[in-house]
Amino acid sequence: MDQAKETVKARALTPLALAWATLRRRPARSGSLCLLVALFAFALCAAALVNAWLKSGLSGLSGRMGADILIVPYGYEKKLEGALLRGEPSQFYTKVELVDKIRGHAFVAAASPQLFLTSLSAGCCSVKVQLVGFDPATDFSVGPWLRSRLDKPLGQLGTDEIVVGALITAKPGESIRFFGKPFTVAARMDRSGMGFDSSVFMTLEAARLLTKEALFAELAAEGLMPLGGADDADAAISSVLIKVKDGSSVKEAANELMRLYAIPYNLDMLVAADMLSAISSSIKNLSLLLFGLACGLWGIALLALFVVFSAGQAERRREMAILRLLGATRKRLALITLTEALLISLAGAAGGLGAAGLLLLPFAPLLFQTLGLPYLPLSCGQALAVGITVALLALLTGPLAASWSALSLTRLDTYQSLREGE
Amino acid sequence: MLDAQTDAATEKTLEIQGITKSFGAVHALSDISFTVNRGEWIAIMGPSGSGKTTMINIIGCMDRPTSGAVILDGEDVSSLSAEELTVIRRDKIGLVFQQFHLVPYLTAVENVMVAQYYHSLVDENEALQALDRVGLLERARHLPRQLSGGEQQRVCVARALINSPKLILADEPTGNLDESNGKIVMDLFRQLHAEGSTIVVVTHDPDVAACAEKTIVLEYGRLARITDNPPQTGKVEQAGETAQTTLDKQA
Repeated sequence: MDQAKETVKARALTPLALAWATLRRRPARSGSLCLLVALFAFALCAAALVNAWLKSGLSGLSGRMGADILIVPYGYEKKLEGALLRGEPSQFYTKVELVDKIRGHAFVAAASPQLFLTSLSAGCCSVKVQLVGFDPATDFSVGPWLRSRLDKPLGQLGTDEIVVGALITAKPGESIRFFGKPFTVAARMDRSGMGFDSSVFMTLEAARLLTKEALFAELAAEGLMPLGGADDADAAISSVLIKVKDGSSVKEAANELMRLYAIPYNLDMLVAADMLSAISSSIKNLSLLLFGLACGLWGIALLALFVVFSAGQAERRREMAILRLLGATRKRLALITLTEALLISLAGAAGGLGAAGLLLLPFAPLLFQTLGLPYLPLSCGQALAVGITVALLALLTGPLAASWSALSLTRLDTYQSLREGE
Repeated sequence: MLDAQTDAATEKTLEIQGITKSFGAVHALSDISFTVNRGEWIAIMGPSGSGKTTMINIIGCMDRPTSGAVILDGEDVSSLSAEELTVIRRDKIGLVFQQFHLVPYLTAVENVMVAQYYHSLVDENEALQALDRVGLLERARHLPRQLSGGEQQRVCVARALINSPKLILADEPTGNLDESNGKIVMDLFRQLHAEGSTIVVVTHDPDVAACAEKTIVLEYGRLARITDNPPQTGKVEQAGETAQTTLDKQA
């Protein structure tokens, strides 16, 4: 007997052990139910993550934009939007004199120019990157953000220094060449959720020097330089960022600026609030779609689990009747069924969350870039909150679907159930 | 042993006092009364529809009579709630079924331990001893589907015994077994009876009924007669040895 005892240890016969034994006995049924819950957990997790990423990205975009109105050459509004949201390299030019004219209006609190260039190639990057020249003296848009990582005042940024976005693979102190000219990385920014993450920032002066010394001839040859000649490089800017004074209407300011400068300078403009509103609307639609999908899958998972547990009820009546005869209370019988459902949910939730973590987290930046939507990674706390919420909902699925079955089993006629089929 | 049994016979393990069970207009049992003394072996016989199943349900605390009293081990259980009956069944009754009714995904020893689990504390050593007693120690780690019908029934007996019940209630214990396995199981019952267990067996088989001390015959839900069977004292003395010999051979 001692030998028999030593060879195999009997399991503890708790409701958990009995439920686990039942699941193991029917691997196909258990596996397919787990898969359904996993699909739901994955969809819900995806919906929740994408929604959180989008909101976080939009919030980052809104906070970083700074400007109320962005003026660009006519026909380039979408290009600017692409540069801002996705870091899509583009270049377009208008005249710098416009900045002073705009500053002259009473409703303008601040106006600052930016000059955009597109790199040909650089050691840091396998694709073209957006080079953004800003004016440290007047900038109110990217300046405050850049200052957060720079260890010196923005005005001291040299013409051979750059600040790179989070997706540019270069560390502070390293050197990167653009158009053959070396630049030292002064700082690398944190993720912003915008196109800035794949952009390179330099002073307006540095950008102009680069244009004149290295780029101008090439751009002119390719017909990409709309201005008259090398001297015009000093007069070139790509956009004017405008902040409207408190109490002034952004819409009225935009209309006034359009009335005065649209035709003479061939301009168009983007109102930041409109752009954010459009993005917000896209986000809302996408979130609705994803949550709709998750709800649909939840419904299917609930229904499937309900059907399987109800259909399996007849088969299980005898087992439950045996346990009841041996002294199991109704509560314990229900507990076994609910534990079984909970185990299915647990495995499904773990699988779904694991798959979401493995598939979504690494590819999210690429996905959002493809969709053209702002993206900002979540903090550990936010990600944990999403994970816990999804896990709780997924865990609830099984017991909820099995509750009717569990309740029915507790009402069974014990002896009759045993004699059925004899 | 016989003296002990004679003394014990003064204690009533089960008293059925004028019980009636009706299902609507159908009277499954009408005014049935009998007594089972401690250490006594009673057989209940009767054709289909005679009320045997209803009687098992009531004696086994799976159902309550419409009227009358069921006194089990001195306690009137006829008006207890379903949950209270569960406790009585768990603590005082060991059940043996024709179809064995083992939990299919638990091993033999685990099937015995389930009864322990719902009764009090799980003791694997004790469960193995119970299986040893029915000659199945070597098969303790086998699942029911890996056991023969006779072996499954012996596991069922071990499970019924594990909590030292006041009453062993067996429903057609040999009904699903061949002659050889039926004999082994009946030898086990003889052994248990010889050790002082109180046994109520419901059966169709006159040979099985003949092993008991009394036979209660039900007909149309009524008590037709109670007959005293010829004493099997010598047989009882032999039964333990016979069962053990048979089990030893199998082991």
